[in-house]
Amino acid sequence: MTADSPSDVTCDHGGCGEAASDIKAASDVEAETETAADGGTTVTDPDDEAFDREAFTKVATVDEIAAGEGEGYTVKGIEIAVFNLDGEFYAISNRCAHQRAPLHKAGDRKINAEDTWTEKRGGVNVEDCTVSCPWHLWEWDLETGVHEASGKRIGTFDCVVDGEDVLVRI
Amino acid sequence: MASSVKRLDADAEVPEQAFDDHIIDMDFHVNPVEDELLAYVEDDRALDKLTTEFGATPVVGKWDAAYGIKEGQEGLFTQGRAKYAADVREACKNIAVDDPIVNPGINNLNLQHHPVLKNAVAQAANDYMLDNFVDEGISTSMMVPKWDPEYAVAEIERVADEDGIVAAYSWFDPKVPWGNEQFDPVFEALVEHDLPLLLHGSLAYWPQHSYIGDDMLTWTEVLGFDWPLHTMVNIVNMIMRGVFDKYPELDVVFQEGGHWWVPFLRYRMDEFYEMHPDDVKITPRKMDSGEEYLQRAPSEYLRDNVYVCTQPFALPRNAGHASDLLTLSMAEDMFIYSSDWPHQTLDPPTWFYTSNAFDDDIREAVLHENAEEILRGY
Repeated sequence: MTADSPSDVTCDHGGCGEAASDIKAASDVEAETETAADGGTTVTDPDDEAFDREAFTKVATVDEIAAGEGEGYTVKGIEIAVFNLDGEFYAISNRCAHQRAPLHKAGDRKINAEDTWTEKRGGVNVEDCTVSCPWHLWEWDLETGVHEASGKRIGTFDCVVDGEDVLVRI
Repeated sequence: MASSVKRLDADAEVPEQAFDDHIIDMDFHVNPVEDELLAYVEDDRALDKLTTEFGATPVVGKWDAAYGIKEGQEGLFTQGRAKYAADVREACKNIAVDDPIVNPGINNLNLQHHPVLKNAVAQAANDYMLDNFVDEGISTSMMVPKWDPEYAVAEIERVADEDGIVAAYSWFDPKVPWGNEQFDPVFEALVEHDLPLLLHGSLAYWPQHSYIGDDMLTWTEVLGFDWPLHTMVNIVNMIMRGVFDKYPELDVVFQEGGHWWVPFLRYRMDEFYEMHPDDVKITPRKMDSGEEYLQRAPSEYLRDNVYVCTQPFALPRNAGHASDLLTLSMAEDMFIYSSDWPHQTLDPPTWFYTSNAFDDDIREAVLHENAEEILRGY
């Protein structure tokens, strides 16, 4: 692969390459079905009787991920970050394609934040539906996994809320 | 299904192996708040002027990073702000740095215009670092005022013998290059105290209000290429004017001046010097010594006396290309890891664990051995 092609961008594990090709809009309540890797469809509305909860993995309850913040998990060996954008949850590969910073640290309060201009290291932007990397502020679209300036792309994953549970489909 | 889910360690930000290795960070910035810094100024007359509405550093640099990133001025404090030893330890814990070499990161001081006031701030910075870092067991590079070599020597004599001072910290800039003979007393003092000279980019970029300086409109030009150009100019100036023949024990580290240009300098200096050596004898140090030529090939000084910090590393992703470039750049002899915490171009030591270009030998050379060779007391 060429160094900078989008297909060269993966997480730090073997399985993410396949997962990255399974990119779908995450936690979009308006997009109730998505095309799955096998060409079929995945129902992403838990209220739909066709919703297959077994295809998803519970990573947290809604109160475990604070609004405007994220948490990191490995699910079936794949490292992801799950962000809470004011009640909308999104799952994305946890590794920034630039230098593999852990995206789940985005939004952490800085050391002596009161003596800096902004309080946090990167973080989510609810209006733009993005997360900025805690190291170098690369801004990733949480729905598409795209970094606009470079054209690079990382994996995103279906993420739904079923009752109090936050579910992710790897 | 729940058993396949594992919550990630909230602290670790770099690969696990990094926490097993010994890592020295040659460029870790401390940024005191102004009131606490100025409390260390000894001269009341200077303090009176430093506390006017103009503040301690009234001359503004062309800080285009504010335009280059969405967070604006946050480029200076992207990761936070270290004021005390505990802050440094907290920051290093997550990125697997064992031994940060801290410096008073008042990098706009060199840009200021008033030599007396600048000296007062330099004195205060060194005393602040002694109190808050040296005394707390953190290795420190003391500030050396480039603008006043006589005061620089006095400050070295005053501070350098303190345990925990392991290097000297100053700047390269578009002004007088470090090969100029006015710096010989500084070199003598550094060699006498066994301190390497760390030269960081200052905010004195390409001269402003000049054709080239004022037409650099992007941060990529200013930080990405202005500083490396001045680094190359300073290195060649020091080598060709015989600094390292006169002071063979002097070690100089360039911080944030780039590094992938090393092959260019290495081969081009030798080619030009060997073809045109006759002007070396009329450089001032050679006039004094009566020597006709340099004692060694220019590239040998580069390998033996000059070091470059790695941040921002920008390693080619192709491991074969990266490996070749490391070899051509004499990385095993010249490269020293630096994070540049807390700035926006931060480099945690991730590169060294995610590329097959590094074997154990070169990884250890870059992460700690080259630094240990030159830092005092290591």
